Amino acid sequence: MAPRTPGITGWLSRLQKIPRPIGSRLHGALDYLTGTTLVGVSRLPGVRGRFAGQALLTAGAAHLAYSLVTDYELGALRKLPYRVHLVLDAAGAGALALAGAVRSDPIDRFLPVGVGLYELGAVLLSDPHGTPHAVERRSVTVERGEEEVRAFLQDPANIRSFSPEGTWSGEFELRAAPGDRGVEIHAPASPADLRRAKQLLEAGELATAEGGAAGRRGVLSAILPSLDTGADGAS
Amino acid sequence: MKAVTWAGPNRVTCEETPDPAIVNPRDAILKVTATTICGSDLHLYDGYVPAMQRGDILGHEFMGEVVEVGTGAASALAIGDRVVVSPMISCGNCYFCRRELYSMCDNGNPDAALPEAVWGHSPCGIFGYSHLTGGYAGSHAEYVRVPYADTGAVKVPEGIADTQALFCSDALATGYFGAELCDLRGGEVVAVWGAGAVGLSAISSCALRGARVVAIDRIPERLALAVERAGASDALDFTKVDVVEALKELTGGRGPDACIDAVGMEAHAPGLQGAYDRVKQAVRMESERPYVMREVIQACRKGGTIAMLGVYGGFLDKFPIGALMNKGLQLRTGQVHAQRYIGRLLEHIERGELDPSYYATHAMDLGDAQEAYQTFKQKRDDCVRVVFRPAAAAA
Repeated sequence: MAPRTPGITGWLSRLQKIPRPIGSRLHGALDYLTGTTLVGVSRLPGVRGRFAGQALLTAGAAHLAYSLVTDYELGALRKLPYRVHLVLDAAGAGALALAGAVRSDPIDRFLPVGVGLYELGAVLLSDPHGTPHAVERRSVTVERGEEEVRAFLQDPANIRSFSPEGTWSGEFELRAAPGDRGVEIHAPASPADLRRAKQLLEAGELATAEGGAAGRRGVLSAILPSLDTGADGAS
Repeated sequence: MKAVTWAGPNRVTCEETPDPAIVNPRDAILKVTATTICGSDLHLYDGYVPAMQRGDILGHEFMGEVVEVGTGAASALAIGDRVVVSPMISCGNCYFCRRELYSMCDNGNPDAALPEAVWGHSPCGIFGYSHLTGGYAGSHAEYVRVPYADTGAVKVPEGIADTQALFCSDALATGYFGAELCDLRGGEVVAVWGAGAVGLSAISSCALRGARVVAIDRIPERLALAVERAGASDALDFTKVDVVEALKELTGGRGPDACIDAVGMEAHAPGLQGAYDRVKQAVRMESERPYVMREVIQACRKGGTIAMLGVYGGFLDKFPIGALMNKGLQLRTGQVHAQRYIGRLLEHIERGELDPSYYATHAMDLGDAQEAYQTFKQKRDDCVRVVFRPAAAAA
């Protein structure tokens, strides 16, 4: 008896089981690298001025543009949901590959098709939930007693303070830190939530540089907030 | 208010900025009565610290008068108190603060993710010291917000002059910390590289603990201060002698028991090695000019102790790890835990055992900040430290 070929549902099921090692941070880095590379390649002699050049220039510029506004770690304006970004990636990649596939000239054909397939591969290997680290189990040690910490982490008012984005799952485990050094909180939580909880428990307030004149934020501001998992501005 | 802000490499400006405000219960607002340019401010000024932004207010070594106190700091401070403030912004309650390791505070840096990415863990926050340490507004201003003021601001007793108390904030505290890192019991030989305010403080503090101290610098006036005011017994001009050989000669071939690097990432060095480091740092192929650290490791006696007080930020090139290991050296370092020392230093000053007032060689206005930074950087006119007095200028 011949083996059964999987139907659409089967293929979708298999697609869902593909390992997706590319988190949103790495995807963002690839976006900027790919976008600038495509723009650069489109200006090369032999590519510039022909269909392949125009296609790569358009794809690269579009890539850079919607990456800048994507709601991931390396986004600057963060308006576009990351999942929508992945859909745009897939649609753009498909369009590029198809547009190339109907061309007869080798450069006009294989450059767009190659880039399109590369982008499709990147989308398939990207975790649509974002950076896996964001939900990894993390831990932090606080110099407080177990009961105080437990009560603090279960109080809705406190949760709103240390997790203003609402990312705290409520799941946590407490362990006595060795050497009578307080309590370890183990939780599937963002570093920012744990850091803010620790600040509130130990210092009684959230550290912030507000209240004093800060720098006029330039290019660095596009990077710093994405790395900032601290409490600045959350108080 | 007027404040000195960073305007790019080698440029600062004095400009009008918003007055600071109480944000958290443990805050206080200070009218700044004295603030000085620290040698480590030059790393920011020179553009070697990447997380600076135009408009950041500089300054971390200061004292002032309390003009506003949050409810959480009211038990420790009152309006009108004259206080000297630690540059380190530390909560006072975490694991590290409770062990008086204030510069390692877990909670003081709101931009902790940035140093965690670069260094693995974050130190505390620091006033006016880049966004690696929190992006806090600094003290080269008429007013400054002091977070965790109940922990970081220490009242100054009557009878202690501003120029004595001011340097307890950082320079004197750092030098004293260096002497403590050397674990001196009396009778040791300590070599101190750099005779700026931190180096002079280290010399005084080591001499106070009964050590024989050798000062190393290239500026004759600073070497003279090291001997005449700080208590060094010997002075070496590194442009004129081979320091390692000279130290062996002074110690019967053994080498100093302890060595203190009070220079850090922008060491001046003679010859080819100096040119090599300068070029690599200029093109950002290395972040430091580690000449002093190399020489310190070479010079220190077997089994000796090295105290690294000078600031480093990134990666060293040609670091003699072989000498460090095979000589069994102990390398100790860190930003100063100033909260631990300020009270002790004020007591030493009251007893007449330490007096850092001679560091204040120049008094200038905030409006002359660019000239002040250049004077300090170029060590013009025998400058050891420039002191701004914003409150007096505004009065």
